[in-house]
Amino acid sequence: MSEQLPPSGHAIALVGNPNTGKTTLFNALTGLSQRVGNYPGVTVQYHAGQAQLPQSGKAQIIDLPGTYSLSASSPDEAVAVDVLLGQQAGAPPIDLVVAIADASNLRRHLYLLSQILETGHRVVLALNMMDLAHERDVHVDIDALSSRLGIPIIPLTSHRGTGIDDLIDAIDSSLQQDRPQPTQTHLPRELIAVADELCQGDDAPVENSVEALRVLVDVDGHLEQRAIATGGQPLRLRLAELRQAVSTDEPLSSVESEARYAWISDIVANTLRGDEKLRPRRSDQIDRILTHRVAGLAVFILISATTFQGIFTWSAPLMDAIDGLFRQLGDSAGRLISEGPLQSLIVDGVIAGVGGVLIFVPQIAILFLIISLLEDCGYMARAAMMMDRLLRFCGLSGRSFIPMLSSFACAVPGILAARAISDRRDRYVTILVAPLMSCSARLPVYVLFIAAFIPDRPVVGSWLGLQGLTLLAMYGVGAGVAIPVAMLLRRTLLRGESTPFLIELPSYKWPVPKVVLMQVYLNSREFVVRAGSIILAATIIMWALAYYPHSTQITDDFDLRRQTAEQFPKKTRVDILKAIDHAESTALLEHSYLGQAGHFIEPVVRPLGWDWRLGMAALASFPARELIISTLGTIYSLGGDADETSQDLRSALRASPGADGKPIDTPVALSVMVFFALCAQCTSTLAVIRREMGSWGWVGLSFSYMTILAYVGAFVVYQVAEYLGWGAGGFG
Amino acid sequence: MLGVTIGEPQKHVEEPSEACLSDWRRDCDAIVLELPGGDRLSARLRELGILPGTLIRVLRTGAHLVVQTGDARLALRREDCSAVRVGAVPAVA
Repeated sequence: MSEQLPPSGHAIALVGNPNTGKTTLFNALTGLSQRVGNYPGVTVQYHAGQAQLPQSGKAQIIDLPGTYSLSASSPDEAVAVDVLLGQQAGAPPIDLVVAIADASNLRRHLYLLSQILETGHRVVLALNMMDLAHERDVHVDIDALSSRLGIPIIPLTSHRGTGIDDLIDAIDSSLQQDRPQPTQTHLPRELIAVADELCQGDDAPVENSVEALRVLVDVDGHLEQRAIATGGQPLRLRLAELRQAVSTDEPLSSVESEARYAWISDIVANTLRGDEKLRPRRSDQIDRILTHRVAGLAVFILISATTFQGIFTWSAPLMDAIDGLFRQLGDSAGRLISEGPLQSLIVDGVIAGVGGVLIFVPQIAILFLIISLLEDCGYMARAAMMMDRLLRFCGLSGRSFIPMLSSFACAVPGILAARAISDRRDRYVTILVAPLMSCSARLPVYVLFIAAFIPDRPVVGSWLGLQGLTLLAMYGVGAGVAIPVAMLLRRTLLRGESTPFLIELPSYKWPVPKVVLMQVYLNSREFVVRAGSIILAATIIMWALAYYPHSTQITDDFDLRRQTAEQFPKKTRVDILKAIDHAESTALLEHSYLGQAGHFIEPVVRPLGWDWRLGMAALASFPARELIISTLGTIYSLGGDADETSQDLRSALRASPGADGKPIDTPVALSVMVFFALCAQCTSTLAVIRREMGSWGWVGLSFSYMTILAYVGAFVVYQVAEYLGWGAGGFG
Repeated sequence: MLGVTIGEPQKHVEEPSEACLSDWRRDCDAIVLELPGGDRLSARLRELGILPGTLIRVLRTGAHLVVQTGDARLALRREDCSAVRVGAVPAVA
């Protein structure tokens, strides 16, 4: 789904290093008009919004990904270069660039600025965090710097909102002026000449000198690969020659960096004071504890535990409310619409489907709230650093931490978060392994089966019982299996060296409510719209499979039974009628395509200890895990309203026969839970994987490996548990 | 290395004046002497302003180093830094 940026007014690109308050500035300029979409043809997001300028009118602000330099190491950054050069499909040509820099770290920020100035765009520099610079005794002579650079410079303190109006005025007046000449920035003449040579001629592999420079300097980079895709081996050889012509002993990246920092030293010579010494900052003190090998880890575990606890307990009231609301809706619709396929479609398909999606929103919103708070205050970078060791062991890196963490609520936003991982192989492995993290939708399955089959026995005093331990174990199964899978992928399909780990630790700061809430809103919306629409569609399809073929003979039979129920006194009649209703649902379900499929696959699931009912429920869950509970409820004649806390459902399960005809017990429960822990039962996740990885092959791989793992895991668990005598009351 | 060193072990009377970044002691200013040529980490370090002659300080040692340059703090894996050479800041006369 790629949305075109609506062409309206001027196009302004917003660029800057990460952690510069760019998001805050973007929010201040665009507010709720923000849109997130995809550039056509690439799996990179754009963020754009509208702003109104006093003189120039409507403007579209495009927030480019935070980057330290235009040397595109990730697809995100490559798109930034393309957008700036007006070469990105779906993005308008840029009229002005707002560069945002951190006043207390100016030199490094001028690196990116030097590259931007070479593009020949109108540029306005927003010098942010002036308050911090002042605290650290760093002084910038703004007028002098402005005249050295030849561009307007506006001091800002974006988290307080000061300077924004001045910035808008500066943007306004710059837009009224002509484009400037590209600035020369101390790059060696040979390098410039070679870049120019590369973009000359009708069949030149690149169109302008800025792109040519990137192709030459960023060896094996994204832009070089793209040029070689058309230019082939001759271009590869030519590039090698041209590089040699500039420098034989140093790589060009080194030549570029030294040249630019020489230019920067020149620029700041009389305009920047106070940054000569290395100063400590308050965050260093905090980091002594938070990144300490022992204390830091303890804090991290505490925060993680609180996060998990929070997701599940704080969301409960809201989830109950949503559940209640949708039950009401279902009941009302049931009364309003007459009996028949339409009523069933609306009540059991649409309303149940929408409710089934929205009920997870509280958990997802809370997880994103916590992640957003941790990111905005600066802690996430430290967490990524500490997790790097463990993730390294699995073949990944600390950068995969947030996607994995998010996947514990829902894999869809987790996989989308993997876009921030610049290394392609790391990103792919993260995406393939993230769905193994037990998401919110698996929890009802665990709750139901643990409550029904695991005795409530204390293990660690009154603090941790067998039930809690089993729950923890289920979460551990997913994460534990992820490790060898990631290692295997990294050694086979996605082999290769990964990007070295380098992460900046920003100063700790108080999170900005607007930024955090905006993130929560955008991510939750992403879940509802993206994942939700697919889950709804899948629910409706599953409804159809469970409804048709609708046997009138069965309904006639049950109507007969209802007639005989009339002879009972009113009090018992209501219960009997209800029981007849439920029995009818069960019979109809067994008769449906889904029921027939359940019987058909029974031989396959017998080694797992399941009977056709559990097999059918598992099948029903393939489009969306959430469906198992209501399906089980229907099979056991409790109506589709039964949920995981229903005592009736628990008793029904305990009485239900397993593969050997005897009532199912702990081993079967364990095998069901392990199956659900590992199986790929989510069409929206598969859809997102298709988008992010670009081909159905990866989707096929993801689905197959997880389903096979789930089957084998369930089989092993069942057989071992049976062998250990955990069935038939012998558990523990 | 067992993690963050608290207090320097009393080994030598004279501290080495030059070493790999991965072995440099904590809380002690250093000048970058050389960066290896072609590897990706060095290219990124250079973009971030860590060039021969830059003043840095190691704030954390262990499996990950935290290096201060200017006002920024960068976290790196210790083994990735082994080719970066740093030396003591020459005393000002």
